[in-house]
Amino acid sequence: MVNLISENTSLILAAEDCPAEDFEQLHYFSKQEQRFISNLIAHGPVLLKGARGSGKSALMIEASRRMYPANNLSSAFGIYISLRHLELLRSEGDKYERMLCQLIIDAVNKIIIKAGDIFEFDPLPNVTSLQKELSSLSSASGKRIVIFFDDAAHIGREAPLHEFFDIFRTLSSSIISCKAAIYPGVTKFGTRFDVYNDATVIDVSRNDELEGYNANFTEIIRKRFLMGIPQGSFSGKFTVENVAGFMGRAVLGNMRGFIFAWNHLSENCKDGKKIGYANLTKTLIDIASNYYWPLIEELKPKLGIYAPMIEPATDIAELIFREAGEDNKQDVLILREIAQRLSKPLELLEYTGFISIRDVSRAMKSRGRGTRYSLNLCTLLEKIRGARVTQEIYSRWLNESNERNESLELHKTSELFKMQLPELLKDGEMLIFKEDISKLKKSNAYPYGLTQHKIDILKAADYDTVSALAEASDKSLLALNNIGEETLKRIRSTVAQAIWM
Amino acid sequence: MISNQSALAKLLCGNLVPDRGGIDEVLSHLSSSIDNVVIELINLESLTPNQISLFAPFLGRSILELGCTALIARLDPFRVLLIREYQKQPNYLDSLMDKPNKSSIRWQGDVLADKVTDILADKSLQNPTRALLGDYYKRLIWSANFDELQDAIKDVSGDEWIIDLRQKDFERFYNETLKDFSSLYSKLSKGIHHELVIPLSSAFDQETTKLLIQKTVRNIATLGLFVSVVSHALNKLDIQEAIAAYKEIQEIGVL
Repeated sequence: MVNLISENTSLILAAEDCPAEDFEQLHYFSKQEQRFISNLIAHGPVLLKGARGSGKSALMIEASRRMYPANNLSSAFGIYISLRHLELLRSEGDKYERMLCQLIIDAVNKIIIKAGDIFEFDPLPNVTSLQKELSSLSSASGKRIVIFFDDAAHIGREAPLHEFFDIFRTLSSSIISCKAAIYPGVTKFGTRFDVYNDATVIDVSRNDELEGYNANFTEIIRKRFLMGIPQGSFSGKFTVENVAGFMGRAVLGNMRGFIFAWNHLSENCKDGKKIGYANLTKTLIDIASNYYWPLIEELKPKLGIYAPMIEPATDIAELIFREAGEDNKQDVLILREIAQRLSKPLELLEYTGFISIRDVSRAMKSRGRGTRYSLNLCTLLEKIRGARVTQEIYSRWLNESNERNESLELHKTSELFKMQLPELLKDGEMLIFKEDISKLKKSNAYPYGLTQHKIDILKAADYDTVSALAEASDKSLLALNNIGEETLKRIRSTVAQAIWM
Repeated sequence: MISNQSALAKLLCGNLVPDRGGIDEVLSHLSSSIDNVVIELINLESLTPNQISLFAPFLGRSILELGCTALIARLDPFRVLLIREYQKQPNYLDSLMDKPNKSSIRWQGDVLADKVTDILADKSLQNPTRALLGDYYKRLIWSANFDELQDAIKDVSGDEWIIDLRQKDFERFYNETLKDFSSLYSKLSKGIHHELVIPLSSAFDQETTKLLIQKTVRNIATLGLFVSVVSHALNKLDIQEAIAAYKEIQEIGVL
């Protein structure tokens, strides 16, 4: 079971949670990702766009690691800032500007201390003063400044976004560049920010049509010592490289999904079991029900005004995967007119890793043009007759014959064409804040969630809602009986999972 | 056909027709100029960081200008033929000693142009801008052939640039291209004219210079690939040959 997976460093799912000393040991970057990192280090504004778990944070952290002061030879300061701050999410206008500027000031000061405390930096928390001081810092050090804003823009949290992108644009100059991580579905950037004019957008996705796909996933696994699967478990056609490539495809190249799936495979290969179709089947089916569907459940209360879009997204997923499963297809071509109308729920499915866009405009056999999406093979396997990985499926999904299979085509005759979308909510507040903390109990949606015992302790102390728990100080939580440092860490990470994407 | 033509020159100038005058002569000249710049771009790797900061912007802007001239020549030869005729005059160079050169391809006017909101608003159709990335080209060439391009590359796998291209709709493709051409020209020019008052090594450090050159080559090569599906383009390459050249450019790499 996913829930039984022990927690050790090789199982860390999010780069931002990875201890700095383990980062290099646990991360591998392909040639394509090395190019993304070069883009992040070079001067110029960049938006790094990708689904949850696609590796945006790891790319930003790696870029900052290759810059000053971590790398003395670099000609640019690398300042990494995570924007996972509850207060920031709830602020607007001047308050937002003040808080964001303060976060930047704190991060720059930390970097200056790391650099030996040899530079002056004392701005006021507003954009004008900050920009002036950053320019002075650049001038004094002879280095450019690069600021990495991780977790900058979320779907459903549009209120402070126009302020963020205003600041992003205003801070940028010939010596200061801003880079921000955003999610698919973020479409509102404010009136002053033109997304394709004011920044270079990099789509972070691992496409299985790229050369070296299997080898890249193999390297990731080798970096983590095969994550508990003995070398002896791989034999015959189930080489490490094939299995890694297959699992990578199964989760559409999503890094967090891949680590999760590989953990699962290692659980299914305990006691010297060899890797075979049976344990691959079990892994994929378990991931479909324990990872993908719970992601949808987890997402709903975080979506603000878009919360009603979860239902159509679920219906669309059910329909697409059912029809593709029955027809033995791995991808779907949706008439553009339909894809445009259903863009928001389709973006949610992209965000959760159910689908991944491959072609924006492709000719359909049944006339017209469509958008082609690849489907995750875990959910697909659930819908295929027999629901098991066979020799034929294994070879086809690994694309060993290098032939493109035809897509499932959804035209005007499809049920999708008739699907109506609900109204958006008027109030953009995230429902998760009002949720009872029992929502955070260990479950498929929260595999590292809280035990009933801890929930009872928190409730007895009047921490009833997620919001109340999120706002509680470390000191007040540690003052409770049976809440020690380890439990505090678990509470914080569960609350973070609940609130952040 | 010239056997030692670089992949980039091939994509931008198409199949050359040797020993002929007119536009063929122009394209042959542009092709060999591009080849020369490509050789220097490849050599950049062996230079010191300071040398790279000094030379790379010049080479990048050369590629941008030569590439755009070649594409204009293939899509709209009249303008280039007229310039050729003018430049053939015996006193051409002397006559330009003390004035700006108007008888050449100009960045503002031939490549970029002012926005035209409604291209058919002027009923007389007098002097529409024929800039490569202007609004008339946008509608008549780029938008009109975008689906053709997507159909030509739909089953190409293993090519990072093509995979990326397939994920863009026309508006995104055009807006990004326009922004890149405009900002690349401006940034590369800053590196040439030394207008910066901050240290050059910081503004044109290795990572930034590398990215500028890579973006320049990628953008101009992408338009070269695109021209291969425009039916009226001169010296058209077979699309498979164009796709192979596009891939080769990525594999050679610069810096």
